[in-house]
Amino acid sequence: MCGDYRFLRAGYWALIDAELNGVTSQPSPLQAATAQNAAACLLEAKRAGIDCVTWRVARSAESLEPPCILVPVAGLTDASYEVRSKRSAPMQFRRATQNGTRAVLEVRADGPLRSMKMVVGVSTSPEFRLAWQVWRTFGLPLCVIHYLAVPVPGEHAEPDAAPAENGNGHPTRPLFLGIDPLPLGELSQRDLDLLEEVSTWPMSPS
Amino acid sequence: MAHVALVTEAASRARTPEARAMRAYAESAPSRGHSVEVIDVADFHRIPEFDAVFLRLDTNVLGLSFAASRYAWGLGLRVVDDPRSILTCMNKAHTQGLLERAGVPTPETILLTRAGKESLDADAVFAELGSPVVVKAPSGAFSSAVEMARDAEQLRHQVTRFASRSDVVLLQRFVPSAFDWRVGVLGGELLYACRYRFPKGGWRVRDKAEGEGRMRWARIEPVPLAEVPELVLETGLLAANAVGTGLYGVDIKESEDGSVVVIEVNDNPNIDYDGEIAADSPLWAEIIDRVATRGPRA
Repeated sequence: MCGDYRFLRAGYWALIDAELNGVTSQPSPLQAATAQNAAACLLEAKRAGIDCVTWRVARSAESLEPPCILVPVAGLTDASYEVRSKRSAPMQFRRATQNGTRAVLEVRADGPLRSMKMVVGVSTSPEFRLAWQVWRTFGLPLCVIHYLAVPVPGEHAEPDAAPAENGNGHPTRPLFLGIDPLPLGELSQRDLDLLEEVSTWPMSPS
Repeated sequence: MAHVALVTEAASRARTPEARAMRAYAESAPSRGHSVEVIDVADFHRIPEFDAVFLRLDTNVLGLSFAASRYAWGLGLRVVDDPRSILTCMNKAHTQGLLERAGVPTPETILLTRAGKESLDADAVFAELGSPVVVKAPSGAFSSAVEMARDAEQLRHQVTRFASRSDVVLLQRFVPSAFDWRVGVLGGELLYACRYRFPKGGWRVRDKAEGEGRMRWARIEPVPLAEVPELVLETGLLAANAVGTGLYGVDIKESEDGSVVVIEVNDNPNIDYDGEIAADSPLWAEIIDRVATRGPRA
């Protein structure tokens, strides 16, 4: 339950320690690294049947098609960069790639960026189904899930029917974007209560 | 018969010995019934078109190379380097653990954790490992994360520097030598061997030569497997098999008494055209055949 399983960070070492001692860990080191690498994460999520954002590898500032979000492949989607116009593209591309030294993904901005905490497959967000899918796919007990809240075409506000809405009463659906660490120490009392409750449930990601 | 993707990037295609090696793979593959196509690492959508994937670019857990490998792995393709090997070899502490578990001889090593860094007793380290001590960050290629400490001040400086990258730093007994053996293994079998002769006065594959300010690469001396000491080959194979069944370059130091220690197991080892492997070698076709028929898959 370290929460931060990023490569070579404390949680990751715990996973390696477990592996070297013949203990099965959840997540596995491979799952943890896959979740951190933004491209690997999206490819694996899509393979698992999760609805994902539309993305491609950003090759140059000139090739960007705003509005879009630049996400470093190295992970940490909370450090994503919004490109609203062609004018801001060169500066955002430079910042996101750290002057061309790292790869970034160009994600089509089909809706506003949202995030939710996930605790062992459970979330108090209306998009709890996505939280469960991410848990089943990546096996991370604690994480922050980022997604785009995309308007559902042709649907209007139906108070009882819409699982989520964009604030204007229009129903939305989540498109998975990526995962960030959620250290145990950053859980609120409400999250901890939830964790205490779900820890009594029999469940497995597989 | 397999269609093999050679996954590359602009930097690897621009390096002449690597570009020539790519051509050698492509030209020799049909002799073993395979075909090879060079693709760019950003072209993920093309990966499902192939039977096997062979990465020929710098691997990085936090880069596109890992994503390509992981995707191919998830699709059930044969893939070299497979994502597990990338993860293991990019973490020297993980590799060290696997080598020790498999009984592979390595230099005496201390794993220093973040907590251990705070209470670092330099005298005790030098007493245990001798002087100088080799300080390694778990992740780093081409000697970029390997330094030497001759006194307590240098030790603390290097440990602090590397601790910013990782929660664990390796301290290792220094084993002097004029060269490293490099043993190439693919699919659980020996592939090639060579000596990496360090720049004069240096101790790393990439180092400053005596009296010079700039870094130089070690000189590559290919050696036929039949001429390599048996213990070097056995140890190289043992070390590679402790990590996996992909392609590895095992770095080994041989002492004057003939004893050997494994310094490192590298995934995605450098294989230059007319460098590690001779231009007219049958190994170019052999490598593609092993990737296509024996490469690791999920």
